[in-house]
Amino acid sequence: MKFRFCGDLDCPDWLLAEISTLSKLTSIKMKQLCGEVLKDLLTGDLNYEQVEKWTSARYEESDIKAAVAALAFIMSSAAKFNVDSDSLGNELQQLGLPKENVGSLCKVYSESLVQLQDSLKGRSLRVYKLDSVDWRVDYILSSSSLQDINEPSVQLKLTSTAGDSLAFSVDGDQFRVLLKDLKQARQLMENL
Amino acid sequence: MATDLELLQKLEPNDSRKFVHAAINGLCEKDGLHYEEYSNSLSLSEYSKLKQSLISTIRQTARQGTDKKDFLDSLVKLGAPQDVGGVIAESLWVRRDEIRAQFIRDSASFSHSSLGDYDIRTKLVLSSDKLGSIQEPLLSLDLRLHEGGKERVESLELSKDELDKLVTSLEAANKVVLQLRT
Repeated sequence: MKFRFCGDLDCPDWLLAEISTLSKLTSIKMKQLCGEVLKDLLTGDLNYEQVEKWTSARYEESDIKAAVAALAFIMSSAAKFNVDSDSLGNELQQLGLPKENVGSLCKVYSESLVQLQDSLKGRSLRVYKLDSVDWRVDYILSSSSLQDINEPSVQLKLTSTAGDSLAFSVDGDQFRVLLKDLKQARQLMENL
Repeated sequence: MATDLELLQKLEPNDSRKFVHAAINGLCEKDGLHYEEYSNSLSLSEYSKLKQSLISTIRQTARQGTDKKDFLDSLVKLGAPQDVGGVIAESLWVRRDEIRAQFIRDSASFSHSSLGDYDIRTKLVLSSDKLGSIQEPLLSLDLRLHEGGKERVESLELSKDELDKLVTSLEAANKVVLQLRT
């Protein structure tokens, strides 16, 4: 059987196996755990002690790991394929997850779907991310190659979020052309 | 040095003009002089002497002069024969804007890296391993930087927000540039 939250593919076997693990939780614990896993997906910050406290009554250590992995997969994969919470609920019930637990998961999921998708978008591969732009305008009066210049020259420094900086100078004419081209490109992007 | 310019007289009039223009091309970062084209009239050592003194003469003359007569005067002062000086002065006059623009570029790029050329490409990101449907436009900006005689290509990738930030900064700088011009 194909599932939308798996990208219209079969559900992975490991996830099928862990559905029964997830079924062991009460709906309240399920909700707490979903909230925690979601926080981990958004910020990469999982509170291990809290998770253990909630689940240790019913779970072995390996079950805890499996449950966290299963929930993380279900929510991130559903967000990846833009599945709404009702469809996700139906599909999880077909997999055999009890209705109350499905309800808890879907509530958490639907409340933060947009946030989760934004975060996934932000983490998609980017070759370069611009952080800041510094500039300085110089006025060249004269030089050894030309006696009488009186032209501006622009110094630019672009810093990426990774901390690499790129500094270079541009002469006045080229600077104007560059700015115009960039504005044209921006227009193009706005029209998309 | 400038007496080496007499060697220009050994070339046909058309060739000597071509020689001067090719030398100017070389100064302006275009395809410059090639010995093969003049090997019939000049020996290799004559060619190198002529090339060297011509380029240094052009640099010295173009640095100061603003009109054709100035060019000719300073060429004669540097010891160039009258007719050779005429050919050089005329070529310099015809291409004065190009030479001036190149010298301004040279002056602006003394200290560290400078922008040579750039390429812009806009693209639409459709999907990634994290998210099935992204539909976000991105701008690829390839900057060719000249650094100590070498060329280095740096690729940037800007989202719309980042491009806005860049354009806003550049516009602020442009305002100052325009004020300087007026």
